[in-house]
Amino acid sequence: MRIYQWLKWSRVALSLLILIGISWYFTGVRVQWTQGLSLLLKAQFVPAFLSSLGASLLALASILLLTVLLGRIYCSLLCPLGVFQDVVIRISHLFKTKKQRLFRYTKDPKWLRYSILSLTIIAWIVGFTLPLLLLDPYGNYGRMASHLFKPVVYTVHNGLHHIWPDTIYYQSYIAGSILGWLLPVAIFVTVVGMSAFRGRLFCNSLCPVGSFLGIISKYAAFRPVVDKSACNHCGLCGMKCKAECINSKEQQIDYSRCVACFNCTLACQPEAVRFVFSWKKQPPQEPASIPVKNNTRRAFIAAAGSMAGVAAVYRAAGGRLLTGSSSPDTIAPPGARSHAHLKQFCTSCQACVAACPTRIIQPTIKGYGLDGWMLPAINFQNGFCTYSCNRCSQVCPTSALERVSLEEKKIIRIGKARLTFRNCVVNTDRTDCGACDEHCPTKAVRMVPWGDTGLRRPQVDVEYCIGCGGCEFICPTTPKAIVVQAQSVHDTALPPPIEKQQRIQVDDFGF
Amino acid sequence: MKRRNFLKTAVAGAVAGSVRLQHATLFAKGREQDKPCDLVAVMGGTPVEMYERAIASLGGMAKYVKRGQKVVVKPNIGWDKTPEEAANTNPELVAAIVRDCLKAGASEVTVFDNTCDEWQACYKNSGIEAAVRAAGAKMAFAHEERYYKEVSLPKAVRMKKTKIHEAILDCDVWFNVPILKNHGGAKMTIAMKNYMGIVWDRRFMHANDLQQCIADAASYHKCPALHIVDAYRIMTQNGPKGKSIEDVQMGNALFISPDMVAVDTAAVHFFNQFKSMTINDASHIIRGEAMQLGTTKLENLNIERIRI
Repeated sequence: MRIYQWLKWSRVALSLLILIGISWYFTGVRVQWTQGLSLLLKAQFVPAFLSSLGASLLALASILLLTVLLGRIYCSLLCPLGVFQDVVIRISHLFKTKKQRLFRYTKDPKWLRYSILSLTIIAWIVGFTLPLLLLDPYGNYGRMASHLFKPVVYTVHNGLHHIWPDTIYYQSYIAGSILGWLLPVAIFVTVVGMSAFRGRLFCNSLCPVGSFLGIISKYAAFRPVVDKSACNHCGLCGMKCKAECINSKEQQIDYSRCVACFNCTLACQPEAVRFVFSWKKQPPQEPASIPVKNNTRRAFIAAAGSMAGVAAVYRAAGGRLLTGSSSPDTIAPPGARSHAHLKQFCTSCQACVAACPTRIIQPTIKGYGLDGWMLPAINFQNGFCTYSCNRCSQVCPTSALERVSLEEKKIIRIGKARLTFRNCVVNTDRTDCGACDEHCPTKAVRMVPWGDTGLRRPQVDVEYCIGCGGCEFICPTTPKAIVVQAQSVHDTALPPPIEKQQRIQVDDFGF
Repeated sequence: MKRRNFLKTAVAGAVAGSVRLQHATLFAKGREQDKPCDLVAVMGGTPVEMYERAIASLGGMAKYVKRGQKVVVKPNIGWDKTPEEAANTNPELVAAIVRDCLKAGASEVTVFDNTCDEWQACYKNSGIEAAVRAAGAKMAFAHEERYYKEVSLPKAVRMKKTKIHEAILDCDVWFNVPILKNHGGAKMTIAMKNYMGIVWDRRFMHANDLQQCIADAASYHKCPALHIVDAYRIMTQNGPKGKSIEDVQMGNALFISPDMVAVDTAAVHFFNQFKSMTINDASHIIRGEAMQLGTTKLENLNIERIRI
């Protein structure tokens, strides 16, 4: 039917646009151009869930409503990791015979799915966020894009720079720690391998978002339904189902795994599989779905129960079972409030890393402890925090970095400058410098007369310091005479006082 | 007697002429023998008006820019600040110079600075990128080390070699267009200090006697044709970045000279009327004179003062 052609191809087109938009966001060189694309990140499930707790319910409510209406279309449209798998499946078809391209119905790995889901939820509730961080499909795509695709994009960009040197600027790539590659590479290999051979297996086994939305999608208003009277038992629907959820022999569809891709409706020659409103005419479908539902519920409850036991042990161990404590030297980006807040809400998707124009936000391996793997931290080696910039807090989809206005950001203190004057070039060489004073936006660091030497030395008024790192970055000495000391809990600095000047009218040249 | 007088005058003229010629080749590449005016100071108009009066009294841009030459205009674009905050050179002034160069027949005009704050924010918020693009110039990228090439500075005392932006190395003539500001480290930032924006590694300069390194950078053999000091708005405290427009006073002035030491000296004297300051404090100016980059003795110069 034409309507299914239209449904499927508009879904494919839209999902590819979204995937390209998100990928461009994470890999783009000119961050000033890509900030608007961060809207796509706010429509992701885990970020929507996390930000619903503190910031806004809108995104989560929209995704849930979408699922109630159309089933797991989120997985086929919005989720970048899901659509990425569709791309992998397509590419894998190039290397397969026609027969090898077909899928086969498999049993639902219920226990695995619901154990992972409940583990993730319970672990997060007791404050152990690593499972969510490791399994969030959006976060995983962000990390893959940031660490695997970005170097490729940079290489292409810099290649173009050689062709149009006046229009395209050169930008060196900042490669982080090799450990930062481990997780994205592992996920890439897993996801590519699974999807090349088994379609959307990842989404229907490991992905907690898929499992969660699956619970809802079983009751979705619109679902693909097999019209038994029209079915000719060709089995094509099952062979085309990349979710491997259509048991064509029994003419049954496992809606908890269906990702609403519309392949089955398109494949069915006698048009027996239709995507229809199914809240009214439930009775004929009821007998098939009831036992499935009960099984799921049982599995879910049992899994949740056992996990609750684990959680109790974890809590009893003071929450330190698998987690290392975060280092007091780690500087969290503005808006993070505290290490604890960041760890609770950040899934290390790297959206802030991609947004930072001076590229000082980089994933840290151990900076927040083992359960804070690859969370963003600031390091002043390559630059410092731009006074008039709050991009990181604007793009964060999870509210791990809370949205702060520019005015608020200008007094948020992420660290405090500390001067070690014995290392300062003014002291060691008795020469002028003032690089720190020059870069300080609030004049927390300023040059003051140094005794009767005729020189001026830096002095830090820490109450005005916001820890932007301008002084640390530019300080020319080794070791640095001025460094920013992190604050595990951010606070606010005093706004820089206005220094009124007498207006002077000069009518002479003075020489 | 008449013949003798004539010969005397001719010899004196020839000597003066050759001295002047030498002066011109030293300080103003491509500059013709000119009427005797070493420094022009203007007061009282908009930046563009003041510039137009000053360049006219120097004989016009065509004296400095020949048809087909590649020109660089190097303002101060160091900070992510608006024109009103006076941390960067006035964008209208920079654009007026660009237009003038193109009118004189320049094949291309390039503008850049090695910024301190994030470069794209500086280019944009200074207003300079938009103004000079509209005027027909190209903004060059200057944020990566690869845009800089190593040169040796044989006259230098501390910084014997450094990396200088390729636009300066490749151009036929360049103009140094700083803004007059107070500076926490160097005391003053004017023409000589503006050289830090053509150099890649400014940390080295801070670490190796900043005042000497500024003079060393300014000893680079390819001198600007003119140093055009924007003193329309001047930052008198909390420089060079400034905290707010409270740090800014209206100077309503402009100084032009082919002699960087002289123009810096004149600007310091002017600044001294707002805040106490001497060229001994900003000692890179003194060192510049010691390295024969110019003279601080304004009384020996032919200065034209214009009031609008």
